[in-house]
Amino acid sequence: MAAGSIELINVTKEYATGRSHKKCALDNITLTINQGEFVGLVGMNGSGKSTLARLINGLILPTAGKVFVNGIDTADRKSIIEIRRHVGMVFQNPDNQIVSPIVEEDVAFGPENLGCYADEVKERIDWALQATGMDELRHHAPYLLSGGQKQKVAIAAALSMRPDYLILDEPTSMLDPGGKYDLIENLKMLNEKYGITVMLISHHMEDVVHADRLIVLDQGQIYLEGTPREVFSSENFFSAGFKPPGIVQLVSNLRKRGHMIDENIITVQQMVEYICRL
Amino acid sequence: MTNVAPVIKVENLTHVYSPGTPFQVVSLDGISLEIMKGELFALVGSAGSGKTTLVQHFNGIIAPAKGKVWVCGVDVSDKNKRRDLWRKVGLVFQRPEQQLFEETVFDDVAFGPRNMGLGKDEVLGRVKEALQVVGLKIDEIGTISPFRLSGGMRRRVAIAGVLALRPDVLVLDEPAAGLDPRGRRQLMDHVENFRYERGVTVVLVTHSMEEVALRADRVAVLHKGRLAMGGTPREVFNRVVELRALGLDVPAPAGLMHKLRAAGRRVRTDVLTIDEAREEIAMILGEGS
Repeated sequence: MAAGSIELINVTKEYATGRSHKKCALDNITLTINQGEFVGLVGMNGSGKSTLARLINGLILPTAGKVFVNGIDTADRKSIIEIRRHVGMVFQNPDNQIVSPIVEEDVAFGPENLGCYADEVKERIDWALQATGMDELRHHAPYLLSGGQKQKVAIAAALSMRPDYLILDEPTSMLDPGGKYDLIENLKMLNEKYGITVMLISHHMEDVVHADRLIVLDQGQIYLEGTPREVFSSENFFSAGFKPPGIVQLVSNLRKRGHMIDENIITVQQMVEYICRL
Repeated sequence: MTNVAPVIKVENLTHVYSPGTPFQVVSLDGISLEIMKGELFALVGSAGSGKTTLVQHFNGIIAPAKGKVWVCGVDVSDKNKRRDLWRKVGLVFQRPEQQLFEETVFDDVAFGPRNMGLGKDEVLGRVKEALQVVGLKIDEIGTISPFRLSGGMRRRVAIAGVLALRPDVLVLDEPAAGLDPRGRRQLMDHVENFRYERGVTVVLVTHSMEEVALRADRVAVLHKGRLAMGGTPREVFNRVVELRALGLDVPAPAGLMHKLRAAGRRVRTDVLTIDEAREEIAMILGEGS
């Protein structure tokens, strides 16, 4: 229960699906996420990813087990506000969480509700908009922005709460390739420059190749865990219906043909550098 | 694909949302294109490029304000004929599972065929077939509520509802968005099988360049309502710099080849698949074992 981490201890979450039916969304999960990490979370539809995300900021409570954020139990409802300050959430569809007609007002919503003074609110907005590269569009209407830009407004709004942890539930699934690339680069920067812990949920393996750690959920359990490279090269990863990013497939394809190319390569850039060193 | 009449022909199509107001947006700006019978035609473009607006012209949801659209040789601005368009062109919207409304899967898929005034046996046959195409069995899920199914299954039921109309053209707007990798592959395999078995023309709106590379015959790139590029996936994905400038990308194998070429390696840049990339790299590395 150390400060500076998210801890899930033997967490089970069941949902009632009928009078006598229950569905077990998460089954006895134990997991620690340390401050400063960039964690990727992947899994098939229904594997429990969103349930896990919602448990962390106390939107839902576990059926059994405990969830601690910086040492605070999410079941302690008196501390729920404090937990939500620590954990910012961004969902799949930014339209579901944008509330104001002007970008900077939307970003101000959180700190104003925290009761910050005007100077402090302004400082937080300035920082959040600058960190997401949305500064120039601060006076625009969110609904006239592109999907990727709206998603960044949602992230800026979460950042204005100065969270330790940023949890993003499939933020890229509605974005075009350019918007997706921008968003991932922005998250990497927030993690490296500002030390914000990122937990990124995605179906796209390319989104999570840069993660420090990759967690694969399957039927409510942690199925695989390790660095992206370890996970992508695991036989179990394939057999569960996943495919690693194209470059990883290419590397293993070449190795099978007898070319002893470096198996640590997971991005296009690494591959280019490797070949050009030869 | 030569010597085949176009199933869809678009000529100089322009569409403006909220014209004459401060919110005026030119969504389509002088688009001309032809989609041939039986082909899988992909439409790509960054958010707001006009993809959805364009396909909504294909089954009469939006009437052409300026320019012409013909579907199966019929001018869609002809109001009397526009009513038949929904039988010819099956349009699957983004997130189609949000449109499910009936109490059972069977009733939901049967809604279209019943509205066409078909007999009971014909409706049954079509529902059975449509569910089969998307990998679902009528005996297993026909009587249950669609709302008890998983997201991926609901999506397939919604698509079956459109397939049951037996359209000549199937338009899919981001059909696999939000599905997990396995669900995405299965769904696209079902669509492709349906296309080969029925000779149906498929128009696919997607953000997945890999899907275009692997499955499309031709691809059109929209940008700010204009047709920015068109051709086979091999031709289009060879134009990396232009595509990136439009907020798009190329599949990883093509991106790799272009970077290697930029670094002075003599490789083909018009590759689409991992196998093709492997052959090129194997050449650089020299024969391995």
